[in-house]
Amino acid sequence: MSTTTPKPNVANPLELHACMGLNACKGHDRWGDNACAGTGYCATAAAHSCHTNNNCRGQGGCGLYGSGEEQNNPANNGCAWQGSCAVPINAERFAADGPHKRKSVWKRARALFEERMIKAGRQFGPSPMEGGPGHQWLQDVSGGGYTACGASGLSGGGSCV
Amino acid sequence: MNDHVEFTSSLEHAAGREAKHASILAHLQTALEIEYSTVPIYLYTYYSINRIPLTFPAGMSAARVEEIKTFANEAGALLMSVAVEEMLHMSLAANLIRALGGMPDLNLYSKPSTCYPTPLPHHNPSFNPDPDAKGLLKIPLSRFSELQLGYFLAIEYPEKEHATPQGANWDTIGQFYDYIRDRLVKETTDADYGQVDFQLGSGKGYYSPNTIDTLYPNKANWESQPVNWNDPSARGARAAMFTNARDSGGLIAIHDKASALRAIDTICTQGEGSSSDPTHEHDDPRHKEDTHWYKFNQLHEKLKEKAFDAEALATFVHPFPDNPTREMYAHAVGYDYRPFVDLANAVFTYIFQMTQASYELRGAAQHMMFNIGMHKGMIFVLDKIINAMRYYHTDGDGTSGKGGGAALAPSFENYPFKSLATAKAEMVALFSSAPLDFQQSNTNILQRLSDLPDVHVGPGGVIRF
Repeated sequence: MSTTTPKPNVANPLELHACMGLNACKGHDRWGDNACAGTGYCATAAAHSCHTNNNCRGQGGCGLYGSGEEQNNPANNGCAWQGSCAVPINAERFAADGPHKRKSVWKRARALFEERMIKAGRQFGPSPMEGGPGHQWLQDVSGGGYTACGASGLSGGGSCV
Repeated sequence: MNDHVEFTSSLEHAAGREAKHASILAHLQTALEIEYSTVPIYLYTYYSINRIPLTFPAGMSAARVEEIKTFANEAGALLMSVAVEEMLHMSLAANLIRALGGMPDLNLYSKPSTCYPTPLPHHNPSFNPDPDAKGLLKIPLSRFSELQLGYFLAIEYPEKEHATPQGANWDTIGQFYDYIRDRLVKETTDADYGQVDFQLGSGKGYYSPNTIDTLYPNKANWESQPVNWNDPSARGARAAMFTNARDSGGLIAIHDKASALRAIDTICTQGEGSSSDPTHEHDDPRHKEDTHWYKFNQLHEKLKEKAFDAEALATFVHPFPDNPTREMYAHAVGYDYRPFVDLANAVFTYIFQMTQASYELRGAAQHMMFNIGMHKGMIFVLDKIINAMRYYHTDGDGTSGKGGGAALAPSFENYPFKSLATAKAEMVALFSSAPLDFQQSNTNILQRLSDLPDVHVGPGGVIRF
């Protein structure tokens, strides 16, 4: 039996966030090369297809299922499985319920992110895409693996499995 | 973690009230069973619809294709919008039972009302959409059709103004609820209502009138419109039709007589509107939501108006059989689909077990059981299983897309779990007996089954996953 003490083998964790333009730190987008807060290209949270499937705080998308309150807080959920919908948040997605009904989910997530940065006294840059990442772009970067949810087709991201 | 512990003392406290209101509670349990029995009926027809059909007969005009595609999505959204509110009504009936000291019984699968075709509990209407039918009105599990919409209209048939309240042999659901309303008014006081924490109340994220599934685009070709790249969501949002509205009423905890009567009003008006409104069109103050009866009547009228014949229906209605049972699938020609049907039935049964457990819990324990369990169970497990089932055919070989006969449809029967303690493991085992191509392309469903809360709640009310 070995008597050596095991060494920790933990990579420096990234802040996990739900989408393009929602990163709080330099180097914290999926590819690790963004220069500034708010300018990252992609989610670091695990991609998932819908409501209650997010791993942790702040990692839920929004807009397709869930209560009005959940849908008003995209990428701002308090805990695992409280996210309202798929990550990343495609730009075509609008809220199906709540005070943000009929409005862009990604823009709401970005507004909440900007509020958080301002409150923290942090500078942040513009999102690479003003309206968020479109479905086709997400399809291209994911190798065709991106889907959002729902039977109506109105998610703009296909139907999840 | 003392949620379960406190439940024990609440039961003792409730015992007196339960005895006092035993008769009202029995009628509320019947109300719950009426709402419950409509859910599989509406869901079955919902799942028979392909909301985004892609294949049409050669020679069908582009305009006709567009008309069919638009209607298919609308029909699906309207059916789902009604099913969502029936689940709401079931929860409100259960809340009323809990408030008056009773315990809702959601283990209903041994009852005749879950063998199809079924009469609704104590329903004895004069209206029957089937001219050949004799005796009691029995509602089938059947695919989308004009006749099935006729059955739906019979369920939601509006009561006449000043109709007599009926506690049994009721003609309309409205009259049955009138009877309950009268008794609540006459026989209860605010002090009779309690156990708020153990109800499924508002502000907990349990209910949303609309989801992406209750919406439909006003035109099937909405994606042909240009995108505004400053806000790519605007195109879909403009096209979206919202079938439900928040002001028609939602999930509330019952804490006094006024809230009890409000719950009854929500159930009645969402179903059939006001008896004083001859149109029975709207159920909300802002007139943003149609009643169930009106929604079905609109679909019924459109089917006739647009002359959707068998050829048109075949483009978006899966060939679901009438009133399937798991045993019926034993006679499938080339493959035994019973384990697959069992999987759907087990998940459906488990969903009601989670709801039952939720009424025995409160606080975080209830939230974890209901919010996580129901959303994950309904949307990301059951929905995905039934969606996949529809592409297997009883004359196929157990491979999706093979065969052309009757489609594999859920039978919505009770799955007899060996025990609550082993129920999750039993569902996982059933997944492993489903068709191989289903397993291979749906590994995420297996993970989600494992992620469901365990209805066998741990000591001290600890929810285990």
